[in-house]
Order: sequence, then structure tokens, then C-alpha cells
Amino acid sequence: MNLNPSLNFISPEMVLTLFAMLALFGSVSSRLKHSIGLLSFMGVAASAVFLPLSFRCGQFSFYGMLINDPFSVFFRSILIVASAFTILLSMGYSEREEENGGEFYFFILALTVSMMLAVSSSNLLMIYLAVEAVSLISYILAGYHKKNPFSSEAGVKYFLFGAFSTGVMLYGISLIYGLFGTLDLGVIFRGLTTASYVDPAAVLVAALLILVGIGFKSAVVPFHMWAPDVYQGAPTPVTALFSVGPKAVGFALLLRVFTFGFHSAFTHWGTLAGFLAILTMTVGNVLALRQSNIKRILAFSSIAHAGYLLAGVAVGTVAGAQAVMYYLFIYTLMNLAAFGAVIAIGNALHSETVEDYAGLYRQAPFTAVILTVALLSLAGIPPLAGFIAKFLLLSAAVESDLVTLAVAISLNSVIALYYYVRIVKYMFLHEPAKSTTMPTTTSLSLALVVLTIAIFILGVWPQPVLGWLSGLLRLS
Amino acid sequence: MAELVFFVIAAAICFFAVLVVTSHDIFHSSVWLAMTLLSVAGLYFYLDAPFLGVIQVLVYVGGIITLFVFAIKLTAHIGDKSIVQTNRQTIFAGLCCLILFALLMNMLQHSCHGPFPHSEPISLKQLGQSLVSVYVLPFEFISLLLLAAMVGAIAIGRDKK
Repeated sequence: MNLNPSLNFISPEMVLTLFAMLALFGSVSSRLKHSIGLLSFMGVAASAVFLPLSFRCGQFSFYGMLINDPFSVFFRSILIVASAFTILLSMGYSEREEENGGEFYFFILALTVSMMLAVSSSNLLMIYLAVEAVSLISYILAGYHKKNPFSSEAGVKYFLFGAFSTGVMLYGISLIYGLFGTLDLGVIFRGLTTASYVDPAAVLVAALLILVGIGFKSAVVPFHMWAPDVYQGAPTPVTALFSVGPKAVGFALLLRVFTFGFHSAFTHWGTLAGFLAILTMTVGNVLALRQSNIKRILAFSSIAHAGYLLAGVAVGTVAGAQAVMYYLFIYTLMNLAAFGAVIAIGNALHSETVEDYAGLYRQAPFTAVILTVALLSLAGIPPLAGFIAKFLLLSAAVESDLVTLAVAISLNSVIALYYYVRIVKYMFLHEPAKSTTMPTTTSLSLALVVLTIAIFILGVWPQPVLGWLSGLLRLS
Repeated sequence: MAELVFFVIAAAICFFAVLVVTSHDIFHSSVWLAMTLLSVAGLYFYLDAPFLGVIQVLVYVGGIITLFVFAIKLTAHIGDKSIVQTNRQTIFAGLCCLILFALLMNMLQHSCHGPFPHSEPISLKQLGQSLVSVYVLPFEFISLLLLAAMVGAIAIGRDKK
């Protein structure tokens, strides 16, 4: 087999790996150390240039290990965007331990490569390896602040929960291999409908075990316990990436493996996903009400958003998949904007408590407005992008007569509004306790401005992304 | 007779595995784990997969358990006191395990089709060739995974300045 088309397909990943190596080597030199952030950003940009080339490749590459389907195209693009903004946020993050500059970006780039391979895998072995790589690098990044006990706690907790859930997933994969004699998803899905020797009940058990691993990555209740502590302890740019990257991986796999794969053996998949969706959004939103640390609030908010996304997965139609993918894209933009603003504020206040945000509007109007836009968009207020995304989810649910799901999403949006607006209230209506000056970093301000403009534009003019998305899904 | 061998090995795996999670000394646990993994290697030999058996002994018993023992001996205060292997959630966890066990038993009863047809043992040459053809991407990707793990271990483990 000629491997050249396969190599073309993973050219973005190869470029990223190359730059990851450069970042690692660069960290050795004391002169290059301070420009590694920029180098990594250039790496992601170069990789983005190769993406269109990759999209034009054939459907399968590397002997069916990777697949070029609408999910892979869209989620790889999201991951590139998330990675680029994470690097910009990291460059403006003052609490990063300077002496560890290079490795930090090496891990961010290696994590991006692993996530991109995970979303385009069509073989359970490759899925397992890529998800394991994502987990492993995440444990390291979560515990990166060695001087901060919360960070070490985050690393250890993430590791223990993660190792266990990957073990469960691997067991499920081994059952699948025992039943089908192959790990290739295409062969497995064909076998589900044609082979008489496979017992659907057995496939169901294996699928449930695999669901544990994927649910853990996307922080779906009841596999969410790690999220608040890890989000709080990890360095903030890393938290920003955690809240969007592994979630994209989880939902890409949920869509490919469950909604459009195991569904024929798993007749109640829609019901189960719908139940988990309502549970996840309710638990996330209710627990967020009582938090006072902004990173914890955003952690519970990201659990709630996993619930909304899962509702789209539960719908099970192409419209549902489109809503999930669009929501994930918008969620990536607004969550990165929110975390970027938290970083900018943290650089000045050295605090993550909402009460300390009092009167921020007077001291840093720019950051306060951006955080407000991000939070209101997360809450789904028109005319921001979050509104259109939520509207698509709701209409996909209603079209499929899943009124319970639609009602749950609406009720939860109301609960969520309370804790988002509470932060805004502190920033705008309370008197500042002490006066501080806001240091500004070019890279961070640039990222925040671009993200905010994108949230506004996609709120009133979502057609370009939506058109691209429906074009992709029609091809499948 | 052949079935008897299987049941002896299976019983040994279960016995040692229970000892791993009930022992109060972490060092003992790691030794029992080594025994569990050796028994699993026995299962591989029994199932005509000698290469896998040898790899199991080399990598797990020879490499990973040795690493465990080093980690226990080099880490202060974990090798010398009796550890508690249970917590408040024992009952809940036990319940979950029971449900999983019931599901798996149910599955085995319904979809066991007797022994698989005996296939030709796969030669080392075939294994090596598949590693650079069908499995070339996972094989190469593991290098990145291991590199990240190594750099990560150094980044996390090095002294605070």
C-alpha cells in the first residue's frame, strides 16, 4: 500500500509534531526560551494551512486507522482553533513558571496532535491510544504548577479517575474484539447488522463500558467528579483547553461510535443519552449556584454545557449532529473568551473569587465587558452566538418530538442565567474594594478581541459556518 | 485435562488478584500483582500465544513491577505503614461491581459459542510485518506518547527551584 495519501492526510498533525519538537529543543536554550510561545503559535498556524489539503484526501488512511468524515473535518478544525487561542492565552498568563517555558508548549502541541488523531480515528485501537495520550498529557498539564497544592491535587485526582475509567473503556474494547475479531469500526458496524453470531446484548454491555471512558473525557454526569477540582487547580490556560478540547474529542467519538454506529444494537441509546443529558445539565447548573471560585463556576458550567451537547446527541438525527457540532464550535469560542478574561483579571488581582471581582468595571472596563459578553453568550442571550447555538439544539429536539429535552434545556438556561449574571453584577454594580491596575499583554488582548468579535458576528450572521457544516454533513 | 489446566490458572489469577486489593502492605500488594500477571502469562501460554506470554513476563513482571518496587522503596512513608484499602464508599462500589458482574455473566451465558476454531499460530515475522504495515500509525504514535510521558515525568519530578 502506498502511504503517501495517508501522510497527506496527517500532514497537519505532522507539522504540529515538528513544532512540538522544536519547542522542546528550544526550551534548552536560554535565548530562545522566551519566543517559544510565538513559535508554537506559528506551528499551529502552519498546521492550519495544511488542513484543507488534508480534507481533500480519501476516506480512509493508514489501513483504515483514520477516517476522513464530516466529524473528523469539523472537530479537527475546532481543535486547531482552540489550540491557537490557548497558546495566545498562555503567552499572557503571568503565573506560569518561566523556567519551564518550552515544555509547556510542547505539551499543548502534543495534546493537540493526540486530540486531532482521536477525533479522526475509526479503529478502536487508535481511539484507545489517542484518548490515552490525551489523558496522559492532561494529567501532566493539570499538575504543572508544582508550587500550588491545588494543582498537584488536580493532577493526582485526574490521574486516578482517568486511569480507572480508561481501564473500564479498554475492557469494553476487549469485549468488542472478542465478539467481532476486529477493532475496525466500519467492519464492526457492518457486522452489527449482518452477522447473526453476534449477540446484541453482549454488544450493549461492551458499548456501555466504552461509554464510561468517553463520558469521563467529556465530563458527563455521573463521570464528572474530577472536573471542578481539576479545572480549579490546573493553570488557567490549561483549564481553558481542558474545557473545550477533550470535550470535542468525547462528542466526536459519541457521534461516530454511538449515534451513527452502535445505534442498531443499542435501541435505547437515544433514551439513555437523553436521560444522561438532563441529569448532566441539571447537576452542573444546580451545583454551580453555590460556588464562589470563578474557575469552579466555569467548571460546573462546562458540565452543564456537556448536558446540552448530549441532548443534541440524544436526538440522533443529522440535524441533531449539526446542532451538536455548531454548539461545540460556539462553546469553544465563548469558553476561551471567558477563561481569557479570567486570566487577564487574575494577572492583576491574583484572585479567582467572584467577590474580588467587585467594581472591576471601573478599573478594567475592557476586560469586564469581554467577560460579560462571554458569560451572556454562555447563558444564551440574543444577539450573541450562544443564542443561535442553543436555538439550533432546541429546534433539533422539537423537530424530533423530544419535548421533554427541549423543556429541560430551557429550564436549565434560566437556572444558569442566575450564576452568570451574578458575576456580571459584582463587576458592574459593586464598589471596588481596592484599586489595582490591569497589566495588558498583546497576545492576550488580541485573543480576547478576536474571540469577542467572533461571538458578536456569529450571533447575527451564523450562515458561513452553518452552511459549511450542512455541506459537510450532506456529503456523508 | 486441558480444561483443568485452564481452571487452575484462572483460579490462581483470581486468588492473587484478591490478595492485591486486600493486603495491608503496599509492597506485598505489588508482589501479589506480580504473581497475578505471571498467572496471566500462564494463560497466554496455555492459549498458544507464547510470544504474548513472553512479552507479558518481560514487560509487566520484569519491567513494571520492578518499577513499582523501586517507587515504593524510594518514596518516603508509603512502604512502612499498613495501608487502608477501603473507604466510605465500599458498599456503593461493591454494588456497582455486582451489577457489572451480573451483566457480564448474563452476556457470557448468551453469547458463548464454544471454543473458537483453532487458528494457525501467528509467526513473529507476521507480527513484525503488521507492526510496520497495518499498525504503523499506532506504532509511530506511541513514540510521541512515550516522549510526552518521559518529558512529563521529568517536568513533574524535578526539584522545585
